[in-house]
Amino acid sequence: MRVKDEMKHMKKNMFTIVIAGVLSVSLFAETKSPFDATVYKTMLKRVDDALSIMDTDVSAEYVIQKRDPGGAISTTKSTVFRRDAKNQFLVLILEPVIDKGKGYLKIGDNLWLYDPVGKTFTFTSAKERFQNSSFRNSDFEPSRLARDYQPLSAERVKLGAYDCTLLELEAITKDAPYPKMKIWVSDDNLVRKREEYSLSGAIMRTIAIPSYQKLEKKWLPASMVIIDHLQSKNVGGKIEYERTTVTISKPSLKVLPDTVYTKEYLERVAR
Amino acid sequence: MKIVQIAFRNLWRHPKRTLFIASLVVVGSLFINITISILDGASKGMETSLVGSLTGHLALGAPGEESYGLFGSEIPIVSDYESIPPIDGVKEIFSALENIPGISSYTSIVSCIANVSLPGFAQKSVVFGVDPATYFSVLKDIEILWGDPAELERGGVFINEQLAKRAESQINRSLTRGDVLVAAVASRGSFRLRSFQLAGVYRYKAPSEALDRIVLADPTLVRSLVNYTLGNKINTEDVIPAAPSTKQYTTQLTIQPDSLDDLFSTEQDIVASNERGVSLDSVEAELKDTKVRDDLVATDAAAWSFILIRKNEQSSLSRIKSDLKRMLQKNNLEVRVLDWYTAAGSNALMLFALKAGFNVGVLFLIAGALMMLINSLTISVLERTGEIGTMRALGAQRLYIIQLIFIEILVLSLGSALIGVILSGVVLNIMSNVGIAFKNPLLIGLFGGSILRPQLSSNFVFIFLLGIVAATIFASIYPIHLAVTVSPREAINESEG
Repeated sequence: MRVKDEMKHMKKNMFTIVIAGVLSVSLFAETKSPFDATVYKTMLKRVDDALSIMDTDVSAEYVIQKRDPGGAISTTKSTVFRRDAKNQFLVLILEPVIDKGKGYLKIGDNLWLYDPVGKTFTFTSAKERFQNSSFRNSDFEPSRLARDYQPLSAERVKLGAYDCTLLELEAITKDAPYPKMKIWVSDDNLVRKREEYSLSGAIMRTIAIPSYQKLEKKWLPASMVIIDHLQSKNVGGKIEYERTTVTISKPSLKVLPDTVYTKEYLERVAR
Repeated sequence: MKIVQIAFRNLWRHPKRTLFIASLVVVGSLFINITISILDGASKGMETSLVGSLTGHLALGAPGEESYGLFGSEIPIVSDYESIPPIDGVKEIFSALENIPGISSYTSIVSCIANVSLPGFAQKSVVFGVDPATYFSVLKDIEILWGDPAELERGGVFINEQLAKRAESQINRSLTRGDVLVAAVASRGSFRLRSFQLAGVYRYKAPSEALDRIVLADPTLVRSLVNYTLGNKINTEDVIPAAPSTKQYTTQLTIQPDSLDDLFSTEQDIVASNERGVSLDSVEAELKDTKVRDDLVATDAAAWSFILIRKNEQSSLSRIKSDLKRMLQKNNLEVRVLDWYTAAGSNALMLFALKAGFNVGVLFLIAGALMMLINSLTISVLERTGEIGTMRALGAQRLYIIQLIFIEILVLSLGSALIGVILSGVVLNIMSNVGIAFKNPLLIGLFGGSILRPQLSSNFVFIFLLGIVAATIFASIYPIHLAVTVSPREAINESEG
């Protein structure tokens, strides 16, 4: 009788184990469900919404410091006026003094350079380096991650004090600045870190944005650190990369006149 | 005299062997004379395409850590554009050049690489700021098709015919006087833009890809492009120190890629005030005062990148070069003296490499022909072992045998070489009348024009015949050695056997 009871008890235990096993397998299967790109595409849209300012203009002072591999430091101070809704921006150089008044004007897809000494405009590419730093002309543009990239994978990671989603992105438009990218998006929909890759998978730039500034309901980076992996030099047996820091201060969301984003304004203001 | 007669008779007695060796020498002579005449055409062509159009016979430039020619740094990786330093003491050099014999003329240029564009067309070009009063007299192989060179001092630009054609085909209209061209230079974290007005079109006697990239422009504007300014001599950090706000992030400039994540150890986001932001008024006010900048960008009117020197036709280049070096040393001037091929940089090196390739090929062929000649002569001597033995048995001395064989070989090779020279003269004359046409730009650059008309140089014929005598001596050593080491008895036995 006792043996029979034990047998019964064992059968009951086995049944419980099987049920628990089946449940855990089904639960496990749920966490490993197929990657849903649309979920992360929505995340990219939220990032773009947080960083793009479509209802007014943005003005700010950018200080860009570049340190060449080996130690030489150069500083550029400029004022940036941006109108994301019309894909326009105007950058006016204030320092170094020899470059004072030089300007970058983006109207639609056209990027113009202006030299006040020669009183001359020329056309350039948005992908060019800004003042030969690791900062690119395209970095002045608003975030268009959802338009230009498709998420390939996602995982939850920790980046210092931030809980982030690490997204691997692939370009889907020819306007995308880089063919591949990894971005760390914190839970407040801000890109904290970005790694940009070539088509062959070689890393080209790493950008860290440790600090943002909130302006009304929108966000602007407050400081950025850019490491250019293509500009390196062996210094004392150690590879040093070109590093650029960008400090964005004095932001403003005041509406600016339409004339600001014209060649005539640039010629008038930068004599 | 008797020995010469015997030598001729010996050659005549073996017509097949004589004809074989003679035809070998004739063909070799023909080949060498024609090839050398064509290569000589290449040397003269390079001079035409570079000395008369680009560099002059000698160029003077400022010393620098990197090697550079008229087109800038020869290390393409250095940067997109590493500017050429200006020469110090130009005025002293100009006055000293007047006293150096053999110099017919000289000019000075400012050189930079710029992206030259007009609406619908852009090309990376080498822009030379030139002094129109002297430039075209030093570089005589430049032909002005239209335009007044004096406008080169009034903001004008002259472009070459090939560049003009390319631009016209892209913009679908003819270029006209006054068209505005923009030159852009990106260097050391900045850019400079200058506008030029099209003032004329010129043509090079021997156009090449390198020459077709050249644009001649107002020297003052080119100085401004290349930053031969006051600002170039002053450290701008001394004029305006970096803003204090910029210094707080300087420590981040030394961060390593693997420690980038440390920047996120604490949350640093802030709330900014819209009220304290930049305004249009404040920026416009800041941009109003440009005095310091205007002082810094004022051009140095005496700054030149290179001085190009042309010598008199009859003067010795090496003599002028040593006189120049002595003068520079005497005046304590740190200036590099560049040969025309160094000044032309990689453009000349490419042509030299091509010519060196030709020369190496010719050398191999000459060496092959010499080996065949030695072989044939050795066989001819071996065939005559019995005859030589008999002569020795009849009392002929070793010296007599040596003289006889040497005269035979000399008559045969020199006579055949002369026939080869005459034939090559005829062939080259025909080639010269008809002309060899080239379409490949590299060959046009190499030969200094699209049609080659090679000429046989009398100097070379003389050197060639001397060379044949030397080759004859060299080629006859082994056969003579064989002839004199054979003992008469051995030789007779061998011939009987």
